[in-house]
Amino acid sequence: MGTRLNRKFFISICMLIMMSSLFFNACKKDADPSETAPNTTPYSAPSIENFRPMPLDAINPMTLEGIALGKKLFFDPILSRDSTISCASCHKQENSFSDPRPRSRGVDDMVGPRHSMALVNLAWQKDRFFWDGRVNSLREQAGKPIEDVLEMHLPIAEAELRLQRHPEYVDMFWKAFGTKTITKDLLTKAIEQFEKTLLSYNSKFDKYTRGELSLSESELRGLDIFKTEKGDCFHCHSSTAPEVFISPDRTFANNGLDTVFSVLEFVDFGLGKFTSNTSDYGRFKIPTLRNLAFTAPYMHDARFATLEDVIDFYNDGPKGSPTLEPIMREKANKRLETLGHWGLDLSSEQKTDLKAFLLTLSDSSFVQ
Amino acid sequence: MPFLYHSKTILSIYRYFYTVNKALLIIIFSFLIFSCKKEEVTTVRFSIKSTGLTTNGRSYTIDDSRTKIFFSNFKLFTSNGSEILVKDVFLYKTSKNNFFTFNMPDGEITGFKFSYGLDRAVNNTVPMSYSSSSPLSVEEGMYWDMIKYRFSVIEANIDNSPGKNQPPNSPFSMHLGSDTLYTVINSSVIPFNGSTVNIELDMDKLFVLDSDPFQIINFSNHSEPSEIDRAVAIKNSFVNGINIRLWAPD
Repeated sequence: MGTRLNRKFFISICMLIMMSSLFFNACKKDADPSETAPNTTPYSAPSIENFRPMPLDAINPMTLEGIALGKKLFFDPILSRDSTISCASCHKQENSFSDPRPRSRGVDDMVGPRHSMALVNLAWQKDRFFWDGRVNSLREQAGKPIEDVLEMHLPIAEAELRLQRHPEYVDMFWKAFGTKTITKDLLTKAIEQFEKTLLSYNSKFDKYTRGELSLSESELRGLDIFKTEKGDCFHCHSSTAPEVFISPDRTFANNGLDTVFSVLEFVDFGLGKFTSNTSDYGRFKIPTLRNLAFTAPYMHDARFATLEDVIDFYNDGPKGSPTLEPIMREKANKRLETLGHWGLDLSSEQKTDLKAFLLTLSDSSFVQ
Repeated sequence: MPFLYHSKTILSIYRYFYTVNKALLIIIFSFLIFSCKKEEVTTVRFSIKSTGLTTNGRSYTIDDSRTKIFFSNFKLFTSNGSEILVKDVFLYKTSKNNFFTFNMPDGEITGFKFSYGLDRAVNNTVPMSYSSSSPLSVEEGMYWDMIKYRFSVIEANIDNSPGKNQPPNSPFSMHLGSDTLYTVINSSVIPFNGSTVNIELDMDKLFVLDSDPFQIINFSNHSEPSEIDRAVAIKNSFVNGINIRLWAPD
C-alpha cells in the first residue's frame, strides 16, 4: 500500500514538474543569435545613409577578432599548395578585389575558366555565389578556391594542418572563435567575416544620393537612360538596392551574349550545370555595377575589354537563345514591332551619357 | 506505532500534495487551453480564376510563383460615418501570401472598400525607408525608379501564332504601376465578425486588349508614358472583373 502510494505521489510530482517546465519553457525566449564567442569584440557595421542596414548572420556573427583573422587568411599564400598565391592574388584591392586579367591564374599557372568577380558590399548579396551560383553562402564560397585544382589546389585537411602548426594562427583562432582546433568551417567563417567588411559607399553616385554633390548634365542623362526603358539596365541592376546595384527579384540571367539554338551549345552552362535545369543553362550571376572603373574586363568570360564594348553590345540587342532572359526577349520583340530591330537605338551621345553615369558608381577611396 | 504514525504522516502529505497538484493541474490546463483559444477574426482572402484563354481565344500561362499585386487601404465604414482602416498595404502573392485577418471593430458596420495599388502618399515613398519584412521593402523588389511601385507584377507566356493554335511560348511581363492606376474598389458585401471575404481575381481580364494580328505591345506593358493608355485599359478590365463574395460560418 505504502509503495503504491509513494509511486502515485512520485508520479504526481513528476507530472507537476513536467507541466511546470512545459509552461516555463513555452515562455522562454530563444537564445540571442548575436551572441559571440567569449572574449570577442562584436563588429559594429557603419551606418551608411543611403544603404540598408547590413544584414546580420546569426550563424557567423562578425567580431573584430574574426575579421582580423579572415584578413590575414585572405592575404596569406599559406592556403595555396605551393604557397605562391593567396585569395588576394586574384582579388586585388586596386581592382575592387577583382582581377584585371581576363582569366585568373592558379598554382602551376593553371588558368581558370572565368573572370574573377569583384568583392564589394557582399553582405547585401544574396542567394548563390560564383558566376555559376554553385554555392549558397559566402563562407561556402570562401572555401572552394582553396581546394580547386585550377586555383589554390590545397586539400582542406592540409590547409587545416598547416594553420594548426602555425602558433600565430592557433592564437588568432582562439581569440576569434574560442577554440584552438582549426577547422574548415572556422577558417571559411573568418574569411567571410573579412569579406563582408569590404564596404564601398563613397562613389560619386553615393555622394549625390546623400546630397553632398551634384551629377553633371551628362551623368544625369545617363541616369535617366539607366533607370528607364531607354537603356533597360534597371531590370537587372536596380538602383533601389544601391549597395550592389543588383535587382532584388533577379539574381541570375542569360543576358544574350551568344546565339545558340540548343542549350547544349552553350560553351559554359553556367547555373544550369549545378541545377541541371535546362532553363538555367547559359545563366550567370548578375554582377554588381559598383566600381566598374576598376573591374575591367567585363562579363563572366571577360569578353569585353571596355565599358564602351559593353554598352555597344546592349545597344545592338541581345543574341537569341532558348534561355535568353525573358524580359530581354520581350523588350527586343517590342522594339522589333516599333523600331524594326532588337537594338536599343541609343545615339552616340546617349551612349556617352550612359557611360558617364556608370562611372559615377566607382569609389576610388575603396581601391586605395 | 512509530511505523503507523509515519505512514499516516506520509498519507496526509500525499493527500495534501494530491489535492494541490490537482488544483495546479487544472489551473495550468485551463491557462494553456484558454491561451490557445483563437479569437474570432475576420478574414480577407484572395484567389485567382483563369481559363488559360484570352477572350480572343489565345492561350496563355502565368507564372504563379512570380505574381504579385498590391492592394491597400482596406477600410470599414461605420453607421456614424467614420472610416476604420483595418489593413494599410497587402501584397498578394498567389500561394505565399493570399489572406490576412483582422478583428472587427465594435459598432454597426455599413460598408467596406479597398484599393488596387498604392495611394499617392505611399507610392511616393521609397523602399529603403521600410524594414525588410515590409511588403514595401527593397527585398520585395516591387519598386522601379521609372514608375515607382509596380502595382502588379505578372510574368506570363502567350501563344503568338496567327492561328492561335500553338502552345504559349512567347514570354511577356505585365508590370502595371504609376499613380494614375490607383483605384478604389467599393465592395457590395460587408464583412462581419468571423466571416471571410473572398476576393476573386479574374486573370483572363488582363488580356482585354488581345486582337488579331498578335502584337506583343497589347500584353507586355511596363506603364511607360507611351504605354500608359493601354495600362489603364488593362487595369480597368482587371479591376472591374474582381468578384467579391462573403462566406460566413454556420
